[in-house]
Amino acid sequence: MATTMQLQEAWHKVIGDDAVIRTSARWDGMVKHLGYISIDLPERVKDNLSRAITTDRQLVMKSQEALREAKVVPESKLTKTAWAHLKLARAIASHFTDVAGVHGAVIPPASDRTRTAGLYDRGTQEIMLHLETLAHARSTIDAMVHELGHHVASMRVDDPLKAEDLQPTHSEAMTFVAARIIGLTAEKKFDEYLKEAVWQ
Amino acid sequence: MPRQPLYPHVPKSRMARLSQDELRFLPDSPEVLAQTVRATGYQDKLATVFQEAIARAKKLK
Repeated sequence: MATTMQLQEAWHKVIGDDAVIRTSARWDGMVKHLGYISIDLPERVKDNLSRAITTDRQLVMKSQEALREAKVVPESKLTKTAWAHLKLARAIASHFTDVAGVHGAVIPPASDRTRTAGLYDRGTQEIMLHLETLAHARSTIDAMVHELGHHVASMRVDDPLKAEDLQPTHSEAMTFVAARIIGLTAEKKFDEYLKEAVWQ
Repeated sequence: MPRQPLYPHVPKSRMARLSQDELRFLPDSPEVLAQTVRATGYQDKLATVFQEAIARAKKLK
């Protein structure tokens, strides 16, 4: 019988370094989001290989565990520009119901194939923006449109899957959020937060 | 040493609402953020309206 290492070597050589075993369609979106692809296998093969090869669920859960290590950066430790952009992000969030907080943070990569620029925490309804994201107004605004999209979508649906990335409900919520932010900006609601802003 | 909660101020009841297969953390890469905002069709309008607002705030206009 092949050893774990032999199975892993064969898998990486034949299937690829970016492939995991597909166990459920539920994880397809997040697997893709993490820079991987899910491979369907016959049940018997799946059972044998899953002792050596990462499954979709394992990949996603490992990512969730890594993200738990995200660290909020105290406001006093932020650069002047990052602090200005965080205040802008908070002002934007204040126009949407029940966002519990927006923080500058150091966020671990979600996988070995993706960096993390922004994060929505469904447990706390808080948004985390990586310090690199807060370096520019443009990336801060992009992140807020996306993360507020998760928040709005989560409030609108009973099935949590529908609020995740690549889901139509999230895309629709993002469009709603972007349009609302444009309207508020045109109404000069954020001007006081933009004096120190650096666009990109 | 026991792991400290990331958000000690958040009521536990909110955490308890998450079901077993519900992902707590929804992470996004810089590339995904840019792509998805572009997909809304509002990326250019966002850029225009914010750059105008920045100029206004800095009294460059």
